Amino acid sequence: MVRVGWRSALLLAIVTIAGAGMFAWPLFIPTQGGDTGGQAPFIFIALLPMLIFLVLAQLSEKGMDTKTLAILGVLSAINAVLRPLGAGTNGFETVFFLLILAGRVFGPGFGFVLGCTSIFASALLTAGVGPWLPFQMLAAAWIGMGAGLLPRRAFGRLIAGKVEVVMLIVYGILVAYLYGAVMNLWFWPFVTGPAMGEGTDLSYIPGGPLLENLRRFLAFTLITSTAVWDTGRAIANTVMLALVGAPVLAALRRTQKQSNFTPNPVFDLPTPVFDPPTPVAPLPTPTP
Amino acid sequence: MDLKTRSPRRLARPLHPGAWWGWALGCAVVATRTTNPLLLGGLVLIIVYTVLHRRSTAPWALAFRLYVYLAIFIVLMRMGLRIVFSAAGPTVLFNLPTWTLPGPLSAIRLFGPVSAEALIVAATAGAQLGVMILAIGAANALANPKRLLAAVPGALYEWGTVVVIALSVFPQLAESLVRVRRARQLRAETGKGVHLIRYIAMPVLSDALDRSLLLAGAMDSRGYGRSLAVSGTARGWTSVLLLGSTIALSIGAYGLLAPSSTPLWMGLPMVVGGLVGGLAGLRLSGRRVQRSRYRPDPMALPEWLVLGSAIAATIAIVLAGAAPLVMYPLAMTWPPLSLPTLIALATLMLPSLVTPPPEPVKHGLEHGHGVEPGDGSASREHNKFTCCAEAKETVDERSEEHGSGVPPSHAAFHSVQDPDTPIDKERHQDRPHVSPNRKAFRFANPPDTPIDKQEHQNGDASREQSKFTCYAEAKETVDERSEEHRPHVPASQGGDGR
Repeated sequence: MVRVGWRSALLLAIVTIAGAGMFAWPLFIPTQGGDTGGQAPFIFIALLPMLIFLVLAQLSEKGMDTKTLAILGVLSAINAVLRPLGAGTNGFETVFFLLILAGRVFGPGFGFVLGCTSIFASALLTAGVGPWLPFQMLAAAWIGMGAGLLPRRAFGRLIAGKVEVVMLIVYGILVAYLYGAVMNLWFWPFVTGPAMGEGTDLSYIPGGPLLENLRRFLAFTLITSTAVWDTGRAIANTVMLALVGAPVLAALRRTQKQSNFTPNPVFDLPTPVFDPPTPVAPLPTPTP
Repeated sequence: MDLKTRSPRRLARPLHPGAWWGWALGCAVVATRTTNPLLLGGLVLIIVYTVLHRRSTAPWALAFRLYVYLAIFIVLMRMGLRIVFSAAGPTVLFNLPTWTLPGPLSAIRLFGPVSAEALIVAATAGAQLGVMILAIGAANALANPKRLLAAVPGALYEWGTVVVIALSVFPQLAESLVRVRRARQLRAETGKGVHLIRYIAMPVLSDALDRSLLLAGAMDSRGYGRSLAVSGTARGWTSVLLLGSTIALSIGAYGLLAPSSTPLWMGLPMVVGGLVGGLAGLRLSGRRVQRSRYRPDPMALPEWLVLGSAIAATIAIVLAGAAPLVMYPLAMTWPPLSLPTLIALATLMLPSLVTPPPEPVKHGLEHGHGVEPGDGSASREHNKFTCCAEAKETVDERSEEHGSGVPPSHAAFHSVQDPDTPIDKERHQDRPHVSPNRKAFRFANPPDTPIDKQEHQNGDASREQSKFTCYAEAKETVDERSEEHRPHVPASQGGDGR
């Protein structure tokens, strides 16, 4: 559906590394004296949308067919419906299971784009646009891309049926905690501030040792969210994937088959020239 | 038709969404440069005042209060975290018993003395982020998101289309749900609990997926998803630009954050180079998309003033950074102000005063007070179309009589509410016995609109036409009147879902 050529793959890899750095900067960037440390989150808020634009532009560089656009739009709308459904119930986030399934069926490029468009559409519809939006988009895009990169076969056998659903459930639990962790990592410096003048025992130390910052971050994320929100998200993923994983996979594969044709018409053939009908020669009059 | 004699400020129209986003980003930039409570408070007042005076009644505009709550929550949370995790300082307000966590977290002490300095620092730092969130909320409230999507550059055109489809399909899902439930009732199905997922959720999903293929067919026939042939070299350059600028931005961000341990060229020059290269790449990549734009948003004087105010405020606040005590005042002193900071605030205030209101002030609907063409209280499209009609007057006297540019709803409105306008007098002479409804119908399908003419002249134009009508339909805002385009949209697509 969304073809990922080597250029797009390279750009995706770079954006993934750069994006990971933008999430995890408090852990390793050696800011000294804290002169620009306080500005760091704002710089990333400004730069990350540009990176996402660039990678999306590259992904659509060969042009997109309408079937992909339409399926992406419809799945984004369903995800946008699912998101507020779970939001009220303490972390029972329902937005990811369809993203995982669609990424699995339609491939990593599609999963990446669907993660971006789902979060963006739901932000416009219900959740609201904010500085967190690009980061949520990138994290969700990783989830969709990762689901597309899961192995198709193992030990010479196709992964299908129950094994596939179990694999996706394990993946769903994993990404539930990872998503919570990276979003906390982004939120961390905002909430606690740097530990220089005004920080707390949970604040990051600008330019501090990696292990010390990691310990502080783990304490922060354990205390604030892991127990409730991330676990709720993991349970939601598990329940939804176990309940509807197989039928939704079947429905998506059916759509994929239906849409998987390329007309590939050739238009530059010489236009057929219609010769004027040659007058039919009068039948020879039968000679007696 | 006294358009020219009226001040353009009085014409109610929504501004270009990009202008409001630029202004909001200007506010956010000013907020990131300072923790001065007076400045931040001034920004809050400016943002709230502007939103209250310049927002429309659209649903996204009413969500501003959520952003206000979120901003307050962030300030309170930051202060609360400070109290929980050590808020020691010189001026102790009150003491809380200290509590050390057990086990591996023993390095963390909770509570203890609470000082005024710590609370003030936490509150101003939280307010910095809070003002940013208010600014973005203001952009959300003031700018129409769908018109913003219509203005995305060509390189992102496909993804803008995807989001528009998502926004338009959203209400259709509810309709699909109703149909599936009715089908269940007809079959007397009584499954409950988990079975509901199989019997309701799955059919809705399958239905949505099937419809997406129908929609794809409809889009194909309207020329979506087609891109111009671009030479291999151009594609290569696009990729090089996109890749190179991504790398440059990543390196530049690192350099900006750690200026003391990296060479100078790794900071700002890299970021600027990356931005320029990226924009060039986007532009080059957008060349393969050719689209006609229906009813583009104008960039007129108010828009430029709004954008200019944001730029001026940014420059002023950067200049004000020469006095660090003004930007980052000490905790227990009265925060000072300087001339550049006041200039920054004043320029950000400007847009709320110089921009036109987004919607006409509602007059009563009684006879004689109806909306007149060119009246300051007329709606945006009305004005535009009236201008259009006025310009066409010189070309074709009859075009105005047929109301070629006037939206049907307005035409109907006139004929019902305001029979005394000159146009309607003409019409009354023309066809005295036509009822208002008939008239509305006639104008909904005007016989010789310019578009129709174009179609007749140029067969090739018809495809473009249907394409951009459909495009416009998909992008149509919730509140805008789109009935005039309805006939072009197949039922399977459902248009905007109404």
